[in-house]
Parts: sequence; structure tokens; C-alpha cells
Amino acid sequence: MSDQTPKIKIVGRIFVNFEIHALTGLHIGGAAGTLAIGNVDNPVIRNPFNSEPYVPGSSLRGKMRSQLEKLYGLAQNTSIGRDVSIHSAKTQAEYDNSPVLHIFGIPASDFLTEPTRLIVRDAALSEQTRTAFRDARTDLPYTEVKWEAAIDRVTSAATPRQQERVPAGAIFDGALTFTLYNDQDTKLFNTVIRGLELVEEDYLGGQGARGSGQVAFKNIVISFQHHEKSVLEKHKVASLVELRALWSAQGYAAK
Amino acid sequence: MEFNLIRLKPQGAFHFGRHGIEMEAVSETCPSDTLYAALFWQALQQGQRWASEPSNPPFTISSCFPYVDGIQLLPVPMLPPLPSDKQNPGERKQFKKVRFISSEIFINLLAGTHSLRDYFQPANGVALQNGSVLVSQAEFSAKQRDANKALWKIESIPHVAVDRWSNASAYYETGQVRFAEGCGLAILALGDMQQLMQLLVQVGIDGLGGRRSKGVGQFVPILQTETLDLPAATTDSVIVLSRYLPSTAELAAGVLDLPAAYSLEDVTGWMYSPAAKAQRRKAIWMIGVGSRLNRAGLAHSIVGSSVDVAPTYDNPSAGVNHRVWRHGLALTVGCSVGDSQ
Repeated sequence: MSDQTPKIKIVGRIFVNFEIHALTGLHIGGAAGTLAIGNVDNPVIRNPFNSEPYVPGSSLRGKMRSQLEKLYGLAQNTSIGRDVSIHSAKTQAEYDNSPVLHIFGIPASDFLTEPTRLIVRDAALSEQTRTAFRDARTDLPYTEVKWEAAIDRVTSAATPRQQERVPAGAIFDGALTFTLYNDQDTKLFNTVIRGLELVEEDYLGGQGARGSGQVAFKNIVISFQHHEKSVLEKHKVASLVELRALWSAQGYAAK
Repeated sequence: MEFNLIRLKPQGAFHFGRHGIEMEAVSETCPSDTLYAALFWQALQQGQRWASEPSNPPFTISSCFPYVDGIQLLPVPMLPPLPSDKQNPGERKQFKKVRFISSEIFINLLAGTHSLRDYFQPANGVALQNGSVLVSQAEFSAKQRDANKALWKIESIPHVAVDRWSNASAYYETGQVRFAEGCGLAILALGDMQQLMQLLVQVGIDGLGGRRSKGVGQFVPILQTETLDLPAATTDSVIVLSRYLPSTAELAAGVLDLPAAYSLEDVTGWMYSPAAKAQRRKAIWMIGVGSRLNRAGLAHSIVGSSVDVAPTYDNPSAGVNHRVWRHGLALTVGCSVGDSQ
């Protein structure tokens, strides 16, 4: 590589492990494997080896990004499908000033970009939930089937449908990794915390407007590995409120 | 020859995209040049200067191959049938289905003491994963595994992109491979294991393959205490266990002349650089794993080469101001069967 090439260097990584508590039923849709009489209409996504439902990293990450774009009122200027657009940058200046794009990445562009900083992992059922639900004789393994009906306003004729949901009370073990490419990225991590807060305020998965998908992030363990200096030791906090306070106490408050 | 064995214990699913635009199509394995690119990127980010000399890396690696309960799988070597082998009707389809064999079968095929047909006999071999994996009966019976259960599953994951304003949705699917408990990927390696392991740990955190930021591709590397003893590549014929790009000298020496038998793979994809916009690399043809090469014209072992695949344009300023290496160095093992053919 020539000496003129910009250098990129990992300064450190922030590892966060947390529990995702389903406060209401959680529906993250999967593909219906077969069309058979008696099959549930809208199944949840499951691990193909143990049939346990899980929270895909892409779901949590996508929801965080969507909520942050709305929070910051970012221009929805890049089409990624029919009638669907997301925020991206058209110029280097737009990219440089967008924390969301630095955290979540950007489609191939005509200018220089940095590596995506945030990795969100799939969240499997916690051992405690796995045991509890196995013994609970739920409608389907680890899940409930929720019946809904669309009712004709004049005749009262009902059109029933089914939603498979992970019952309220389920706990998933989630994790994310945030890579720092310079020391200023510690402030960027505030945006990640904000993204998680927004998911708590909104919902995760489908059918959120009808009550599904309310979640809380609890029992958060954060460790910050800096490659050049000693920083935050491993900490455990109960909630995002405490995580934000901890991060602020380290001198990394949001601007 | 003793090869170091490093298991890449999966922490979730992998997405190893196949050539084309469909995100559903994935492979269960990762080629050596992709893994090398991930290691190279880590080395660059850590300022390791060997990365500026790709023709002489501190280690040589194979492509990733699955393992099953400690049984290491390797690709089927491209060998001619033994003189004693008869071609029975219908068998060819069965043979073509096999993609991976255990290291014991691999060694016996290279030595010419057995043919693949021998291991289709229930007394000798067990077919797994719908016939695409063949292990010896002796290896398998010690592992207490149900032969009918999948070792890995390739699934199509549904996704929905939702418009922030209208909530209109765009549905798409991506493919990913998930390994069963006790299964995963492993590589064979030679050279500086300390440095390789240190880089692999970082690759394991960041992920290997596609869709890494969505939690796909993470693994924990484990350097096995036992090594894999495979024939040294000192014979006239060798089998390559990495994606291989012959150097000009090796081509001139007849490395692809008979009795060589090889597959060609069209290798392309996107490049990332801190110095240029994201763009597609030049496409090149490479020799696939399991290929048989002719080393007779060379006084030394087959090395291979790395090439610059930085895109070039009519307008020189539109390109990249540094090289973009594609790793094609060979990891080879010796093969003593069928040299006379």
C-alpha cells in the first residue's frame, strides 16, 4: 500500500451483552415451510436445528437504524425496493456528518467511506426461558398462537387469522460489538444507546401497533477494550438508563 | 507432513455468497482467498507490515472445510479411477454427489490403496448429509451420531425493509448456512501459528463472509493440539487444498499439463478500501480445491501467486491508487496414485 493511502486502525472495541425481555408477545416472522391444513399462518423465525425462536441480529439492528433515522429526521433519499427508501449520503460531506451512516454503514458510494462499526448478533433464548417454556406446554414449541379477526363493519362477518408469537416473559441473550476507529467514536456509542432506547419505546418485530413486540433491555454487561490505554473495566448495569449514566460518567457524554 | 489444524467454531450462521446477484445462494465453505482477505484486512488495521508483501506471508492456509465431531473433512481429490474399478450404471451420479470425504479416506485415495467406490460399501463407509459427505465406518462408529441428521443446513432467511414514512415493505431473502452441534469449519495451516491465531481471533469477532454486521459469520478459532498428517507434496502429482493461482513460471513448467485435472472458478466480488470508493474487483479464474497439479517440471514445490485485481478504467484517475491483492498461494499435499496415466 502506498504511503499516501489513508490509514485505518482499530483503536478498541466495546462489547455489550444484554438480555432482551419480551414484555408482550414477540412476533419476528419466519418463512412458512409448508402450506398445510392446520399450519399457523404467520410463523416466527426459528433455529433450524433446535426449532427455538430467536431474535435475528438484522431485526434489532434494522429497527435501531429505522428509529434513529426518524429521530434525526434524516432524508429518505435512497431507494432499496419498490416504495421503500432509507437514508444514505450523496456527498462526502453528508456522509462525514452522519453518525447513523458511520455506525450502520452505507451502500456502495462514489466517495470514501469507513467500515461499519456496529455488529448486532442473533439472540437465542436464554437457558432459563428455554426450560420454563419447555415445561409450559405452549401451543407450539416455545410459542403461542394468537388468533385475530378482521370484522366487517356492517355484517360483523369475521375473517380470522393466526399469529405465532413468543409469549411475554421470554428472555433472549443478545450481544453487540462496536468497533472504534478513533477515540471520538466513544461519543458515537451514545447513538447506539439511543437506538436501543428507541427500540424500547417502540417495538421489535411485527404487529407492534397491535400490542406485540414491546421489549426491555436488562442486565447489560459492557466491556471496553482499548488497545493503547486502560479504560472501562467490565461493568454490569440493570438498564439502558444506567448504561447511559455509566457512559456519561466516563466522560463520553453525547454532544 | 504435519499440518496444523485450526477449528473455526461457529457462533451463529455464516453467509458465504456464491457468484451471482442472488443473496439466497450460499456455500457451506469459505475459500482460502476469502479467508486470506479477511486476515489481510486485520493485518492492515493492526499495522502489520507483512501485509505489504503478499507474495511472502508468514503462513499458508487451506480453504475452510467442515468437520464432524472431530472427523476432519477434505475435498474429493480429482483422481482417475483405479484400474480395478468398473463403471457400473448409475454409480456416476452417486460419485458426483460426494463433495467431502474424511481425512482417512482422503489419505487412502491419495495412496491408491482404496477407491471411492470401496467406501460406498456399508461395511467400509457411511454417507452423511444426503450423500455429499463420506466418512469411514471406523471413524463414524466411534462418534455416536445419527447418520440421517443434517450436519449443516442452508436456510433462506426472510427479511423486510420497511419504509420509514409509509411503512411500505420490501421483502427479500438471504441465504445462510448453520452448522449442527459438534460441526463447523476448519483450516489446515503451515507457518507462524501465533500470528495466524492472533489474526483469526479478530476475524472471528468481526465475522467471516457476508452480512457480518447482522451477526453472521462469527467464530472462535481453536488451534488443535493434534496435527493432520498428510503426504508431503514431493511427488510429481499434488492435490491443492486452497484456491490456487499458478505463477507464470509454474504455467511454463507445465503445472496444468497432463495428468493434471482441475476445476476453474470465476472469482470476483467487491473490494473495500479506505482510499477509494467501493467497487468491483477484476474477475479472475482460479484453480479450485481438490484439483490435481503436475509438479514434474518444477524443482521445488508449487507456490502459486497473488495478483493485483484493482479495477482499471479508461480514466486512470477513477481507479484505486494502491494494489488490491487476490491470494492464490497453494497449500498442497502429495499424491502417488496414477502418475503413469
